[in-house]
Amino acid sequence: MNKQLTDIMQKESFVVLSRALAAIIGGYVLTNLSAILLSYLLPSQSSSNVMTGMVVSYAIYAGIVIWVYSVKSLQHVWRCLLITITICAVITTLLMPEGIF
Amino acid sequence: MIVLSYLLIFIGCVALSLSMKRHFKQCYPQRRMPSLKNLFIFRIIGFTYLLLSTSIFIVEQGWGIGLVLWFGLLTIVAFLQSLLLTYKPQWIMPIGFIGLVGAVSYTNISL
Amino acid sequence: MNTNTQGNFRQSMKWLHTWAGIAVAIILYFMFVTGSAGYFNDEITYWMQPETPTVNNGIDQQSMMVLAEKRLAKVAPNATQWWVNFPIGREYALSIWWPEKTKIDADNDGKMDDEWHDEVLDLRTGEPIAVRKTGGGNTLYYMHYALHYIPSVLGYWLTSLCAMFMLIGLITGIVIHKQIFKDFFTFRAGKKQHSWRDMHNVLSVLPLPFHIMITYSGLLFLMFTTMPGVLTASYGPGEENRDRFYDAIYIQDAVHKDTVGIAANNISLSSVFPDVEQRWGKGQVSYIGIENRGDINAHIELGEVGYDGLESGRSLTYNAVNGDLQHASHGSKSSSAAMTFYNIMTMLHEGSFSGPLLRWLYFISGLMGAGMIATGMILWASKRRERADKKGFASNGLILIERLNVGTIVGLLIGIATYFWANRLLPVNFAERENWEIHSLFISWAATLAYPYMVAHKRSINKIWVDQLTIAAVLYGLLPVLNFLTTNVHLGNTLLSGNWVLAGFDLTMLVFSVCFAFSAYRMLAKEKKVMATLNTSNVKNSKMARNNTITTDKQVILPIEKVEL
Repeated sequence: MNKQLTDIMQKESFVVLSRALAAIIGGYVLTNLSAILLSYLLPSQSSSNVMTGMVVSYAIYAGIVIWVYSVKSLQHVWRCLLITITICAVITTLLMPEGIF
Repeated sequence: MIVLSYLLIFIGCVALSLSMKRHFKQCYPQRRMPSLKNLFIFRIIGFTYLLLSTSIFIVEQGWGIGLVLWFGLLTIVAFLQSLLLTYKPQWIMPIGFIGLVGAVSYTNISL
Repeated sequence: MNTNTQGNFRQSMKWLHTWAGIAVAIILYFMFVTGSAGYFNDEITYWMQPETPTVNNGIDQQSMMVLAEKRLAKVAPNATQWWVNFPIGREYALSIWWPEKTKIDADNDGKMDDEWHDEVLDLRTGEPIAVRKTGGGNTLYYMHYALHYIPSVLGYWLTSLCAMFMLIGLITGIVIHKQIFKDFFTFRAGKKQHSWRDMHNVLSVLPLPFHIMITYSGLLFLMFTTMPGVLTASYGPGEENRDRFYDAIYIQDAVHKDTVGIAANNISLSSVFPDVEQRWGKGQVSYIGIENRGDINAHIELGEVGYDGLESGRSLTYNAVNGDLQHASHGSKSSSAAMTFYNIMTMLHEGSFSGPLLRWLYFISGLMGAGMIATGMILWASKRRERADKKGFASNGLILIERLNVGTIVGLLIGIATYFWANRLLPVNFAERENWEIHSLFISWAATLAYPYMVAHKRSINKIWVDQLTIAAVLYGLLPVLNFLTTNVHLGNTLLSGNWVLAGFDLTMLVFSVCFAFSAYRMLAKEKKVMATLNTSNVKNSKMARNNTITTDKQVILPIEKVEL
């Protein structure tokens, strides 16, 4: 079982797909979280912070995608992505204004 | 004024391409390659003309439209220049010269 | 083979550039072509409605207004809004618009909804003119961000995703391009894939500011759809909260009061003209409208034609009960730096402020973007083709892309030509003719995509290029002829009367036709050269090809196509 799993994980199509998913889905989630954090942490009023977060989000997204493809080890990519997403998600939840959902 | 700035952009592009070894050879296949210093002078001339045309656009049309127009024209002119360099390099200097004469006389008339 | 994980940064960026590009190239090409056409949406619509009366400069706006108001009172006496567009700027007809309350949506709890109606009016009599229904330039324009045949929200997501790929393509392209400035003007002709690479570079680097602006602003246009997380995290989910956000970022410029339900008599729309003309001069109104008609809170709004820098022109709001000026606005105000950035980028994308010269520059830059995608696709194939020719066989993937390339690059353009042909050939009262125009675009595009497969056994890929380029040249070249046969706004009349918009359309089609014909001619010459060299070593090659068929079961032989000719 374990060997089968490593076999699959070393297949080229799996590697390509996994990295693409990390970039597109992982990148999108992290982009949203960091843009939200940005909109929480900026000093001015909330409407313009939200606007700033949205406007820069695509640059953040592009940066993440480039990073995902520039790192050699796929495992490292996923580890970093998941850790950052978790940290961002926790801080976002803590900072989230009460009663908006 | 648009005509003038168009001419300036073209002259700028000609000067800039002359400052590059590959394109200098295309324009003057027989002539000896000028020294690096002279090539650098061409580059300065080129950028000066481009700056000049930018400022004319900005003064005439304002920052927004001026810059948009300038980038648009530069794109087209540089594209034409790269086609000229490939297919008709011998035309570049005559056209550039006519452009220069045109620009000077245009400025004289409008002044 | 972990090509993406091996090697240095530039290597991985090269991999990303190639595959991000090729993955969505077809949609990106479609977006660039239809988007470029969109810069001339009003002009295309004008051409596609040849019944539109020619503008007569002798008629002043106030008398047009009187006619329009008379017609509106007749067809829409109870409408809550009236709008009139004047034939000025990029509007080519006097048209009226009004909403009618109708029960449209069954799933909307039978709620009343506005259905908009419009008419084009004769400038002298004020009577409506029957103009043919058409998708016009706006359908092309709309498709470039919403695609077609799919729900528009899905279209927004797809085009945004492709634009994101495009952004990645641009960034990685800059990274892997070793000498952007040294190669600024470099185009070496006749060197196979090197020439394609040079052309790809030239078409990418020279309009780079345009490409970056158009890609990023395109993403910004749809950000309220594709990046809703940020908004929701501060304002909460749902339409109401979203509206709260919009109210906060868009400074309400005009005073738009809601109806209060107290009936009141309204002044006529033409009565405000003396005051307007005093402020703006004669004939400067692009549109006029009345909202909350019949209510005590009714107001009349007018817009000035033309632009102030990048911003749209001034507007005036009058009280429609006593005729007082309520508000005079001058350009938009931004609530924050981010909003300013958003406004400038979206204005640059649309280029509504452009005069004829700048509009053409936009159009050409857009086409260069399409050319960048096209040369990228061809470069991908030609690189692998050279390798495949050396090895003697090509992969299925290469053959697929080679065939898709023809059907996409030339095929879409054939499709758009068919769209124009359909506009002239479909009977004027044909049911749903505006939909069939678009169907004909996609049917012919599908045909050009299928064509390489149908003739693959007897025609080489180069021949297929020649075929399709010839078809495109004929379709575009004969459009002015078709126009001559079916309407009276043909070149003979438009050139004589100096109608440069309609004449410009026909002339542009002729220019396209010449370009396609020239490309077809060059392609044919190239194919003949290939044939000549092949004929000399025909026997040897076919033997080699046959051997390859035997040794590789899944791979398809490539030279065989050329050899068998």
